[in-house]
Amino acid sequence: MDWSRFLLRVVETASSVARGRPDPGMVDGDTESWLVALAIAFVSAVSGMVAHAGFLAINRVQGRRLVAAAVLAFAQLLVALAFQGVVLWLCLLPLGEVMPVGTIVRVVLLSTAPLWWGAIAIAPYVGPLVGRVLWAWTLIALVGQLGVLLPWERRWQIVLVVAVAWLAARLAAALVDPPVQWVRRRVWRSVMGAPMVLSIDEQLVREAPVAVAQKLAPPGRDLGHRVAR
Amino acid sequence: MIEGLVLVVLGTAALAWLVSPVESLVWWERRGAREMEAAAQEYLAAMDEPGDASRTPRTFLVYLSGIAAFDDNLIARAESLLLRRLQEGVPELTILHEIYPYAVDNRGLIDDRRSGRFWRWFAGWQGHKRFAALFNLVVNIRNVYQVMVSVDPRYGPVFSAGIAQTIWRQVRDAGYAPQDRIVLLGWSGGAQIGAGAAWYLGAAGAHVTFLSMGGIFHADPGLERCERIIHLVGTRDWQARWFAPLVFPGRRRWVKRSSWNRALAEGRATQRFIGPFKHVGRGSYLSGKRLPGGESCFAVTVAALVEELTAESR
Repeated sequence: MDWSRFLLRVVETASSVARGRPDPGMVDGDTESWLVALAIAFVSAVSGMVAHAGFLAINRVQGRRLVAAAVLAFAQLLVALAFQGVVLWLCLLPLGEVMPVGTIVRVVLLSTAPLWWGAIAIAPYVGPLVGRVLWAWTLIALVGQLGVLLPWERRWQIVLVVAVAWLAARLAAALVDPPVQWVRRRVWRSVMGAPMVLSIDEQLVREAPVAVAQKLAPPGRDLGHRVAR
Repeated sequence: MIEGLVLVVLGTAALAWLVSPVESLVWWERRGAREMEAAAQEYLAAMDEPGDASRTPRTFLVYLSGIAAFDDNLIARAESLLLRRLQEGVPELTILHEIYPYAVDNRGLIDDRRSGRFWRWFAGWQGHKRFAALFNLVVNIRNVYQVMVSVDPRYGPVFSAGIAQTIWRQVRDAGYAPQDRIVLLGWSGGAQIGAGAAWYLGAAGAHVTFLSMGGIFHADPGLERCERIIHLVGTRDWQARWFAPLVFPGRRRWVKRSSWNRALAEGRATQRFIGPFKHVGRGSYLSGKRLPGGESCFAVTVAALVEELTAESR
């Protein structure tokens, strides 16, 4: 494989998708198109990892564990995007548009191109807002991509379908979140050899003075003011 | 060429903003978590000390400077004078000011740090008028980024833990005992730093009062752990009066469930307008400008602070 040509194609495709200029050739079903779509999603996952440097720091992830964390992040993103693709495919059926589910999943993977900027979410205070803007941008990119597959006269139906599919995917994800988190923690623990800590709050619950003091102090001991959260 | 220079400057500023949480995260990852565990043991041991029942509780004033600060050992002349006047006005106070509020491990910009060389070189140019203004601007921007780190829910707990540990060590070295009181006096951005640290100090059982002088702070969870919150502000200080609620939604009146508004409702927090002061410059809190009544802004500010601190010391 000509890697330099492949990498150039990945960059050009991501750039086109992010700028809202989809290339009809992007939705071909050949192997290279799949690899391009997966490569775009992988870079998005890595960029997202940079944004979550805080999470990695509190879990003290370094070296090989960092590589494993990148792979896990990519796998998690793939599962989420594939799920979103399937939901979108189901939502397209009532419109009378029957196309291979793989095509829709590939389009969803391509639409993550704006998340290449996801590393900006590491910035303090404003970063999470930037992250939400980028996710909104991926939905716009998804609408643009679907515009290649479907007649442009149906663009408002496309927007509606994307919105409904996104809501449905979020609702379904919320319903299956507990077992997913359980699996995620188990996989993390077996790969990393240590429990997963999802937030600084969670870490501080374990190690903050109040938590340690509560563990060690006699029952009923007044240790200060009421806890905020 | 000018456009290129502007791009370079903006790009550098953006990059500095992006990497501003790194210092806190690296500290936490290398030492912070372990130091927290050790600090917890110290807190418990301190609370278990029998204490001297006949001893009058002391009040420790911890001063957290504004965003122009660049070292823990160097303090602006006006602020140094302020602290001297406060000590004269409330002799029983123990004042601690060797805290650099904008670094998680109390290292000033010109201290032993990777960028220390650059900052020492830059600080050396303060004697030149043009560069002094540029130096102040760069330091202010750098410190504003750290205030944003303190406010960010992802990084704030880590940052505040480091600050609280610094404060804890200094008050303990100064003879703090569990029945004593800690007053965190924050000016401008220093107020937010104090609010964050209050969470840990209060959690350790300390009696904490948060005293803001033109403070710009958000509805930090740390405010929940303060026995008293006093926000002294000038009527012409638009940064503290309008800008803070604009960028920190929890400070808006209609966000009833925020720590700030809950404290106001409970009567733990008060906001006082102490004079027609601006945030910075001529006519600001520590300015020598004369008010219509004949007193200087500085004297009025000192009087307001002494009044509050005297009440705290009783």
